[in-house]
Amino acid sequence: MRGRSERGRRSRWLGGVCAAATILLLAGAGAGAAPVPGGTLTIGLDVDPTTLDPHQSAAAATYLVGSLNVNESLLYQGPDGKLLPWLATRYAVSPDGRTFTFTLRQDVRFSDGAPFDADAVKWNFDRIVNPNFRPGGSLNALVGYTGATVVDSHTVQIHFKDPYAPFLSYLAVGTLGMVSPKTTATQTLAAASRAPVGSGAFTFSEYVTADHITMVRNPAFNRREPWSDHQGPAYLDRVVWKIVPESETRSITLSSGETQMIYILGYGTTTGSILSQLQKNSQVITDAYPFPGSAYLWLINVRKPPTDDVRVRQAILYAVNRRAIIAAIYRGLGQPACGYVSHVLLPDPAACAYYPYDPRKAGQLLDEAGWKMGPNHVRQKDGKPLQVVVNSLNSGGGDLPDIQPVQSQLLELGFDARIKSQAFGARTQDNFTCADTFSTIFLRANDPDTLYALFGSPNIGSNFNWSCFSDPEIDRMLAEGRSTQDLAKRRALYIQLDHALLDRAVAIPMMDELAVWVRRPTVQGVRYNYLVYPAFGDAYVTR
Amino acid sequence: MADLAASAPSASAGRAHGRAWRRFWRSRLAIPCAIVAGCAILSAAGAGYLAPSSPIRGELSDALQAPSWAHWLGTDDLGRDEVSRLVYGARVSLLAGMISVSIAATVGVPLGLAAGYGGGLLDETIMRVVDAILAFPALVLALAISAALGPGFVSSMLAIGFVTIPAFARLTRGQVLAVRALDYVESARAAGAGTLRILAAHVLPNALSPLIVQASLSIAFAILTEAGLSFLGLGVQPPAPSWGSMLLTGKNYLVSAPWLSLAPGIAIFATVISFNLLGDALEDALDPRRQLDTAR
Repeated sequence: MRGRSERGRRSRWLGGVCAAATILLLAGAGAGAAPVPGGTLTIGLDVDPTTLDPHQSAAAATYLVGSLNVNESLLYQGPDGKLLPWLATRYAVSPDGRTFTFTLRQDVRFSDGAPFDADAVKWNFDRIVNPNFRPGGSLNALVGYTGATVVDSHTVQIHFKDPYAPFLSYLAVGTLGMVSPKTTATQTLAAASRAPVGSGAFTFSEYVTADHITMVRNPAFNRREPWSDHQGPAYLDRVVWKIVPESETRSITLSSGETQMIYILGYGTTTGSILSQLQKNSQVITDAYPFPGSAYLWLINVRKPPTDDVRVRQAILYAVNRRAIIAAIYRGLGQPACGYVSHVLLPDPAACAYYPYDPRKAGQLLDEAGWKMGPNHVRQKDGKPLQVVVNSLNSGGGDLPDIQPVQSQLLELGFDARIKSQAFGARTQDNFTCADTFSTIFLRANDPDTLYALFGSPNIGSNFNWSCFSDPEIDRMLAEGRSTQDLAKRRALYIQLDHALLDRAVAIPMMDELAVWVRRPTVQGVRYNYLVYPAFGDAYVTR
Repeated sequence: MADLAASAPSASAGRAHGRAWRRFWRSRLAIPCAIVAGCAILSAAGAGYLAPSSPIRGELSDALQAPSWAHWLGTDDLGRDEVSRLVYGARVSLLAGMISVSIAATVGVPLGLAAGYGGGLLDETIMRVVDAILAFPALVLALAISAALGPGFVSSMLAIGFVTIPAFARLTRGQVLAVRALDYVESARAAGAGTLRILAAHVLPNALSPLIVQASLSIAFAILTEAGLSFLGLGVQPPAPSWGSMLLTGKNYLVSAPWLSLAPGIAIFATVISFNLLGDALEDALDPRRQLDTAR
C-alpha cells in the first residue's frame, strides 16, 4: 500500500532500527553458505493461536504461524509496505471503488490436490460471511461484501456495498488466506481449526493445544514465492512451533538449544531486560522490525467520570513519562509513540509535539478542572476522590510491565490510581460495558483504517472501542478514510484524524512496538513480511 | 462441687506447662525457628523504622540495580528498594497469617465444640458441611473465593480463613469427643453446670494445646497461600508490597535480576518453615503422652 518514497520520510529512529536489522540480517546470512536441505527448525512462540484456520481466528498468532507458510493470500505485502502479486497476478479497482477484479495464477494447487481457481476464491469469501460460520478477524476485512462473481476459471470479481479502500491491504494480512474448498467443506469447524489445508510450501501435520504446532514440507509445492530467491519446495523438512508463554523461559530455550529461534513482543510480559540479556550472548542474532498497526495504547474511558472531562484526560497524557517508562522497561522493544497509529504505518512527526511530559501542566489542568489536592495526596472535587481504575489483563503471568509505572506516576499527580487485575473474560466484559478508566491495547494492522475499530462509534460495546468514544465528526472522517482511494489524500486525512483524536485525548499513545525475532546464527534464510510474520520457504539450518 | 470438679484437671497444670516449655526450648530447632519468626514479626511491627526508604516510591532511572551498599538487595523494575519492600511485605504476610487464622479459629472452634458436644443431627450437619469444604483442595478453593470476591487483601484473608475453618472444626470436635465423657466433665454436669459453662471452663481449656499447634501450622499455611494469591495477582494490590507480588515481579527477571526473586522467595521459605517447625516443636512439647513419659 505504501510506496518506496514514503520510506524516506520515516523518522530517524525507525531508519536506524531498520538499518540495524538489515545489518544483522546480512551478518546472519553473511556466511553465504549454500542452503542445506532437510532438518527441523524449532521456534519458541509466546501464545497458543487456539485455531489455525485463518477465517475463524481472531489471534495474530494464527497468521504469524501460517499466513506465509500454509494458507497463501491473493496479495503479498513486503517489508517496505508495497503490495505485490501472489496468488493473484493482477488486480483492478472499479472507478467507484466498489468492485475489485483479480486475475489468478493458473499453476496453483492446494496440498490436497484441488485446483486453486476463481470458484475457490468465491467459496472462501462466501464461507466467511455465511451466517452459520464463526468468523474471527476475517469478517472485519470484508465489511460491506455483497458477493463474488466468477468471470472465468481464473478471474474473479469481489463486490462491496460501498467504496472500500482498505480491501487490498486486508488481502495481504492473512485473514483472507485461502483454504481448500475440497477438504474444508468436509471438515467440522473444530477440524478446520486444527489442520486447515492451504497451498503454501508447508502443510500442518500436528497441533497439540498449548504445546506445539508442527508444519511439514509440501513436496508438491513448485513455485517461487514473491519474497523467495528460489523455486521449488521448502528446504526444511519441518518447522515446530513450541508454545512457551513465559518470556524468560522462552529465552532460556534459545540459550539451551531447545529452540533455534524465538519471538519477543513488548505487549506481553516481556521486558527489555530479557532482550539485553540475550544480546550479551554473541551466539544469537536479533531481527527487529517496527510493527505496523495501532500504537500500543492506554485507551481512556471518555464516558465515565472523572475522565469524561477532556482536561483530566489531557492531564493524564502530560503526566505519564512514556520515554522514561520505555527506557526502563521496554528498552529495545519499542519507542515512545506520538500518535495513535504506529509510526511505520502513518509517519506523522507533527503528532510528537502533542503532550510532552509536563507534570506541572498536568497539575494545572487538574486544578482548572476543579480537582484540588486533598488529604493523603489524593485530589478531590465535591468531596469525591480523583479515582481512576486500570482494567488490566492478567492471565496468570501478572500485569503488563508498564501498568505499575503508570500507576505510580498518576499517584504522584494526586490520582487515586487503582489496578483491576483480571483474566481475559472478565476484562473483556468490563471493556464492553465501559466499566473502568483505562484498558490497554495493541492492534496489528497494515492500514490506518485500524482507527475505525478503536474509535468508530459502532464499535462501542464490542471490539475495540473501549474508550467508549462517540463523535459524529470522527465517524465522518473514518468513513471518508475508508472510501478514499487516492493514497496521498487518504494519508492526509488519517493524519488529520489522528490529530483530532489527540486533541480529544482519547488514549495514551504509549509505544511504537518492535517485533523482535532472536535466532541462532545457524538459522538462515528466514524472510519477513510487512507485519513481521516469518516465511520459512527459503529457511535452512546449518549444522 | 463444681469447683472441685474444675480443679481436678488443673491441679498439676502449672507443673505440666513448665515441663512443656522446657521440652520446647530443648528442641534443637525451636530456637532458630523462634528467632526467624521473631525477626519476621519485628519487621512487620517496625517496618516504618526499619525500612531504609519508601516501599512504593522509586526512580525509574534506578530500576533493576544489583545489590549494593546503597540498596542491599538491589532495586526492582520501578527502582524501588527491595529491602524496604521486603520489610513492609513482612507486615502483609504476618497479618495474613494472623487474621486468617483468627477468622478460621473464631468460626471453626465454636463449630467443633457444638458438633462434638451436641452430637446427633447437629454433629452430622456441621461435619458434612465441613467435609464438603475439605473436599476441595484448599488453595484452589481460596483462589476461587478470592477471585469471586475480587482481588485485595481483605478478600484474600477471608478466602484463606474460610478454607482453614475445617481444620479447626474437626480438631476441636475430636478433642471434645475425647474429653466430654471424662469424669470431671460428668461431675460438672452432675453438679448442674450449664452447657456453655462446661464447654468454656472444662472442655475448651483441655482442647487448647492441639489448637495452639494447629494455629501455628495454619499461620504457615496462610502465609504461603497469601503469597500464592498475591503471585497470581489476587492478593494485596500494587503498589503495596507483599512477598508474593514481589515474586511475581521477579519472575520476569529471573535471568537478568535474580535477586528480585531470591529475596522474597527466601523470606517466604524461612518464615513458613519456621512456623511449621515451631508448630511441630509445640506439638511435641504439649503432647500429653510425652508429659506422661516425662512423669514416669
